[in-house]
Amino acid sequence: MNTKYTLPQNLPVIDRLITQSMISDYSKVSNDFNPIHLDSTFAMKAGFDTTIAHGMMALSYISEMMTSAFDTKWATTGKLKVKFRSPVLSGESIETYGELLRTSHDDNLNKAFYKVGINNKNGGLVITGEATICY
Amino acid sequence: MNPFSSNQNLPLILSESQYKIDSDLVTMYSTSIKCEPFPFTGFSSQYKNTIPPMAILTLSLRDLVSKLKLPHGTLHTGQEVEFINPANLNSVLSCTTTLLQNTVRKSIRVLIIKLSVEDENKIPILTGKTTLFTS
Repeated sequence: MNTKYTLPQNLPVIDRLITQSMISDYSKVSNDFNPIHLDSTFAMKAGFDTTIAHGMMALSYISEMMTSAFDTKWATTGKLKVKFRSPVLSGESIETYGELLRTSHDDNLNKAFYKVGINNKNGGLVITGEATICY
Repeated sequence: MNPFSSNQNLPLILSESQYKIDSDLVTMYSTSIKCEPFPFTGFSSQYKNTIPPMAILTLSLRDLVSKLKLPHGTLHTGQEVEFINPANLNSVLSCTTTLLQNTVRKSIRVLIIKLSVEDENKIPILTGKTTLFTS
């Protein structure tokens, strides 16, 4: 067991203002041109105040938080399981959170389990879930 | 292939694609989410060409998004991902997506799709599971 590695209790917060320009760029990267992300009139007909960001785009910030905390351990041992609770609207600010839940030692692997997620500026849940790394 | 038919034998392979992740694609991804420009200065030299893991996931789903032609208004409600090995810039990756579940509950179709990504040496890079709610 690696006893030298100190796990952070709380993970660094990543915050972003999600703009329509970012959402439009992400549409090109993901090849997802659903008008709910690009056309505010369509999005309003679907029941939103304006366009919404792709769920995977928001999820990127949890991965950025995990990379920031664990460097390449995240890219080599990370696991993530999340639910998308509510959409991120264009023009909305979001921030990530991550808090150590527990650790385990199974099959010669030290594992750390973190409660992770994203809230919007009003404290509303955007993404909730759990991330695991081996250390 | 009609992923929206309920008369399928599951699991059903939806897409098999190969793609090279070059610096242009990674830069497009990094720009869209406004994260640190690639390559990351924080990574040790051994990993300086490691592609951000969420970029791999995003780019791996491009082909599926194109092929499925999901109805506008489809919701991405859940995502699981396990990062197994890092992938380096200019890797040629293969992604297979498989429909695991296709059920209708109260007029909402629930699709659960597994994806597996490996590199040109058949080394697994990541696996994941995507849950979609569609009409």
